[in-house]
Amino acid sequence: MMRRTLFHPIFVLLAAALALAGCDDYADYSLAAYTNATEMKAKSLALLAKSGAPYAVHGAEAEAVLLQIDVAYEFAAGFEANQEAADMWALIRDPEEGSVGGFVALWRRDFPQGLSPGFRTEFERATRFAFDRLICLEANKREPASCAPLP
Amino acid sequence: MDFDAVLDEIKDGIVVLVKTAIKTFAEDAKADLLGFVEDSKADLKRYAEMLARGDLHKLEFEFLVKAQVTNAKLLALSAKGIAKARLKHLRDSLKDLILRSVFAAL
Repeated sequence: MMRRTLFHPIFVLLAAALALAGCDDYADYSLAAYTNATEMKAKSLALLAKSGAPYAVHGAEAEAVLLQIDVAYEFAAGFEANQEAADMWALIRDPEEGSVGGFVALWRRDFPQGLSPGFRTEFERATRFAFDRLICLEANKREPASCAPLP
Repeated sequence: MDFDAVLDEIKDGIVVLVKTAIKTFAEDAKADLLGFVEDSKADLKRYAEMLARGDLHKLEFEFLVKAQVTNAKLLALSAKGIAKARLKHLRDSLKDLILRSVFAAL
């Protein structure tokens, strides 16, 4: 009869399972993080739809959206091993980048009377893409999922 | 307990898990990248046409081009994060496979 030592195959396999469990981790799925991404997509698109009007009319709403994006960034940055999601929120809120933060800065600084219909249509596509990538990252934390465009 | 059978089961399971994970990730990443490149080409051409027609102000045009660059950065970050997330799922599946095989044989 085989004697069970520490080098017995069963212990080696269990040690392998434990070693796998202890590998570098990645952030778990968070419904709150997923919801932040879907909600801010909807709110950003709603704001963009109003950007044909003067900034002064919707400035408070624009600032509120930026504040909520700041909150989402802080939430993402507070998770361990969640660098990519935090960096994505940082790009989305950065006034120097071509996402929501940059769009609000452009509207406020350069087009206070409103942006053109053509711009609004085109930037809507870009904004959907940006948030869909973030939503897809959050979805993949729950289970592997393809990043097909979301409606 | 037949350890050879257990090891064979684990080996077979690992091969299937790893092959599936790599194939799926590679196909998804390739589709995402090619889709982005194709869409970007069409977008930039359309922006230029709109600028020429006067449907976009020069600053709006420049911002839309900047948005393409930002979206490329977002694509790269999400691909990196998704790779890490899928690696974690693969690791969890391997751990489950080992534990399930060992305890089923006990």
